[in-house]
Amino acid sequence: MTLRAGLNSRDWGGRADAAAPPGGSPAAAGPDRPTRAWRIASPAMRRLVVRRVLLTIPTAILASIVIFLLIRMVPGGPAIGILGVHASPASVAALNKELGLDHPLVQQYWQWLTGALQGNLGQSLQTQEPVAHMVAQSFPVSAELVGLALLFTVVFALPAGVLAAQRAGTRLDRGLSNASGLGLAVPDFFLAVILIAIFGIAARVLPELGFVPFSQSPAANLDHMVLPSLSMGLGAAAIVVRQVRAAMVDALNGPFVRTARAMGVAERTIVWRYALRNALPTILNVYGLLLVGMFGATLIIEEVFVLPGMGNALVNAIGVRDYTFIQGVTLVYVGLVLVINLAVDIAVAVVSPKLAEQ
Amino acid sequence: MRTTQRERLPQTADNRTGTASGSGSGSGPASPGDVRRHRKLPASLVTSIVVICGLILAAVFAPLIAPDNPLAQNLGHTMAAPSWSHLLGTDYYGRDVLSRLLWGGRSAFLGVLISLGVGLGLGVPWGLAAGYWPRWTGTVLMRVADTLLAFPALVLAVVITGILGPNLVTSMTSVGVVFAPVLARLTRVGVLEVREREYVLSARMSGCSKGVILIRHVIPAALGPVVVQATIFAGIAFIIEGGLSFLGLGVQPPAPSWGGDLALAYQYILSSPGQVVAPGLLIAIVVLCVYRIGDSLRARLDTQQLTDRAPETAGIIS
Repeated sequence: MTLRAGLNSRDWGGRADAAAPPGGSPAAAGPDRPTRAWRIASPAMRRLVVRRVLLTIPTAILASIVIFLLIRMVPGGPAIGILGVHASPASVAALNKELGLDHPLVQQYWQWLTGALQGNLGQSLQTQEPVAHMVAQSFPVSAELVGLALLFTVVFALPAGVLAAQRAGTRLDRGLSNASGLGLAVPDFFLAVILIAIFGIAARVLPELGFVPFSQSPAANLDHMVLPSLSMGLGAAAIVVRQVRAAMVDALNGPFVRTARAMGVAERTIVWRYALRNALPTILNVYGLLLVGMFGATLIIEEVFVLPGMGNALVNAIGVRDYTFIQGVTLVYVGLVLVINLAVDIAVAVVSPKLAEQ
Repeated sequence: MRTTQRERLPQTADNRTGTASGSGSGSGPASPGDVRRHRKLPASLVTSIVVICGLILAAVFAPLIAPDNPLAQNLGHTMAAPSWSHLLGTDYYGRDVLSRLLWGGRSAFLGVLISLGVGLGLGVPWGLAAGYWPRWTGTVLMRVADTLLAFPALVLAVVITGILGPNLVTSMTSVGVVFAPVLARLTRVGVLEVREREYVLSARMSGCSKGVILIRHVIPAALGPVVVQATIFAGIAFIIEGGLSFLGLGVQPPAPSWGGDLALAYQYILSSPGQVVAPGLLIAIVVLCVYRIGDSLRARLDTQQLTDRAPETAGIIS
């Protein structure tokens, strides 16, 4: 029992030990390991979070400058882009004035940035609606799509990856590896089209297109989300299976696993508690990248399934040259990525204090 | 030091096998230091290389081998079933599907070439600079890389395309711009690791100039992971090219492209499902083969992740 307790207190080791020079982590030493709550509230943790947030700021500013300048890269300027090359100089000047493009660049940027920070992303050129309002309407649709796809990978792909690592080299492992290889190669739009053809048009078991708000009818909403989230989730699942397998194979090769086995710890505990916890930093990073990729994929999936989400709105805005909307939505996407990366880094620090200390 | 050991060991292993090493030499893209894999190449790898080479040749020589003009409409002969005059049938405008697939391969491979060229052309010098002057220059350069990494690849490609106007070159160039920071990071890590190795130090002590050291000693050793990542990006670029053309933001119809033709055929999926399946399957097959080649390259070239790591660990995601 005491041995078990000792083992428990050491299960932070493993890969972190191998990767980093040993020593220096008070969290890992001794049987009186601090609780998770303590680690989250610890000064070291607070320092890390503050540092990480501060590091995000210059990136965010640079990215906002890039987005701001991008819109001004339209050949001939946005006004020409909207009105066409044959527009009269007077109407171009009028539109420039309306868009605020006649001010100096720095002033334009400052106005745009301060507005954006207050939640004002300008007015859509097409609908004259506030962009922020349109984003607020379309974002939940994208978030639901991504959330469901993510849920799919967590429920099916994560255990499959663990299983493949546990049975590395067996027929099951090879089968999963081949299936996930195929999943990586099939483009999501192709998968979406095939799923629509099979389940929506031929078998008629699921609605092929369209969207019903969750508030209106939860059942119909989920019905409409099955195929889109599956189209997105299957490819993501392939990535998760491979990466989780690799991380778990690493973890299961750790010395602590051999020790735990020698001590007679149940295999299930070893795999799902000790090894998985050691693999968790890698898995969290994979999920961070995956989330970013999924928000990118909404552009295609929402277009195919005609979902009124942010990705679809962006593609449409490009068709009608709605530059303020493009600018605003791109900023939202970048903000989203920065938040995801920040959250992943903090989550990794919570899970693995040793990595966090580096 | 690690490399020298790793390179030397296999040589002794080769001496042991003796005759086998002679037969395999010259096959496969083995680098000079890599003499350990003189065994027969696995069948899946050979198949992948053959398929990719075949498709590249088909794309290059599409003007010669395509049975028909991919743009020639024949409105009296639309949606025809496969026949001897049209091996894969005709599409909604009566155009020969096989010819369009062959020509569409041209834009797919060209698009991937553009994005990889831009990605490597920007990313490698970027990473070399950041790795070679790690203090101020490196920090600033990596900050810029972080900024670009904050854009989801597809979003940036779509937005740039939307601004500069949709065509293959613009869209795939912006995809390359998205790839560049990842490749820059990998290059930098490789350079930072390699530049402290003994043979680099001894080259420096024996009076080699910085440029010679960089080109002769640092780059070859540091670029393994970059090459591996580039193959992964090649696969991703195929999918993105298809996706952009599918959205109407890449190759512009009526010009043939796999993604664009898939989008057109999708509207008639029930009457002729084959026209949807063919381009989609082509993309999937190409990507599958590219990844297979990437896997074996990784096993050979990845100097950073040593052998005890599973081959799948290096980032699959962009």
